[in-house]
Amino acid sequence: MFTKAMMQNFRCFKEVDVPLKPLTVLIGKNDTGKSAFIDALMILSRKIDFSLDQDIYMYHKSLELNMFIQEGKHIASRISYEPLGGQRAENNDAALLKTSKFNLPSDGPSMKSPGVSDTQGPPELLEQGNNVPALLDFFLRRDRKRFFNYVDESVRHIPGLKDIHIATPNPGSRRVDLATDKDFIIPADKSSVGVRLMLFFLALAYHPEPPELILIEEPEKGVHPKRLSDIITLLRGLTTGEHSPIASQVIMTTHSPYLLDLINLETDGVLIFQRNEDGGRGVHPADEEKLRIFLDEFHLGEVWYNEGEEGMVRRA
Amino acid sequence: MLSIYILGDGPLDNAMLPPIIKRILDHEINPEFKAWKDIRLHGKGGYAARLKYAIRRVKAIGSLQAVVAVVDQDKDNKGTRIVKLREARDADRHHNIPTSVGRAIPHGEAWLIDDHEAVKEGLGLPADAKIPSVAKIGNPKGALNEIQRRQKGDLQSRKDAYACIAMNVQLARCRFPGKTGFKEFVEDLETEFADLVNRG
Repeated sequence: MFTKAMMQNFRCFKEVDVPLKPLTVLIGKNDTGKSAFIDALMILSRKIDFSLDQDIYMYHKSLELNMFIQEGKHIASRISYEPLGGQRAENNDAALLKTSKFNLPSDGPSMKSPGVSDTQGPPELLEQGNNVPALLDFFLRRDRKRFFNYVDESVRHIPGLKDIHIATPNPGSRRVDLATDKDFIIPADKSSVGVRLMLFFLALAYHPEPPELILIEEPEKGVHPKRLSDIITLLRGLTTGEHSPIASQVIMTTHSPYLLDLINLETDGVLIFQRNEDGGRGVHPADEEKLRIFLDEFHLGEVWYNEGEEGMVRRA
Repeated sequence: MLSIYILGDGPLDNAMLPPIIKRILDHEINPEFKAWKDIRLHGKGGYAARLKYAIRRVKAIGSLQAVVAVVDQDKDNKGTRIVKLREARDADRHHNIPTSVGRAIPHGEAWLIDDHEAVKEGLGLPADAKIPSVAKIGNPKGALNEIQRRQKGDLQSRKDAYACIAMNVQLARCRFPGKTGFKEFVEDLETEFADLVNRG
């Protein structure tokens, strides 16, 4: 697990040095650098490359990105760039980290996908939530118990759902169909955004080889506030390796106070993103000592809504 | 200078409560006003929950020292709002935040119009101007606004008018302070803030 992220001169950040927890939530107003922070983690995981003309905070500054493991002492992944001479250096002591970023579309993930050969192992879920049918098809053929556990949990979470079928409209594609308690069978693509999002998060939670680092942009999009707790429970299960041998680290952005209500400051991390007076952006961990004063009676999201980001951090 | 977090109903309470508190305590204050409706809570509403939130906020941010919370009676004829506020305050004594609660009957304007001299001084009315008795009018807000409307009209001037009257209100000149809840509020404020005023 990554325990710390440090950045110098990356995009809107002059300097960042923040702790990371198994489940970390990034909050802040629009355009305060949350997505840039996610991209930095993608760069450190070698999922995307950095761009000299777009990713450096100020022209001709040196760039440095570091991710730490082991109580923040050991640099697991590092990328630096020194403009004088154009020198770029990097190391990656840890094995290349399996990282996935999810930015689910507001109209929900598709429940149709190409079929995938069993020999390639369980299919990865893609950034927009695609590949759920291929993954469920893999379960059905290679890990039937996992498939039935997935169906059972889906039935518990989705009112009116009785069963899930994997249809093969043609040899090269798979489709999720839902059997309802009124004995209708409907293609899952005709179900609500909320149902498809739940099917996606369940698929992620039941993935036998989930990403070690899961980055999610606003998982609350399209989800009823009362169903958010189901999604956070699934994500928390990923951080403890509930359905796989791998305990993932989950880092997500949110604009939802209801999602923040579900965060436990004892175990989870909250990072606050703000604009600095110099035009750059700052990131600070939530001031746990201050926030705990509220938490005997109130939820964290309530404090965020009422106090704003500035009320969540230690005063300078 | 006492830094006080004041909870009330809206802009007119924001105009009148700080000068009233300053006059009662005979102490300079640095007020931060918050309308009840602007404290938004998910799980529970009500005045008591909002007061508890305010007490924690004062403790958490450190730059404020105390809370004053005033509710209007409005349709709360049984007086449950003030009872619940007192219960909430008692439950949160361990936070050591001086907290005064008050109930304006039927609303804050009753505290102003009950001191006829303050109304005349605040609005610049002649000494022989007739001010209706708060005991005889059902709607002090309407009566005060009517008096004030004869002077000037828009909301800004209403706020100014309220502030000017409020800074002159004296308990000793009020005719029915027991009926308007003002006497009870003054006593509560003086008791709750005694240590803070002596220290500061």
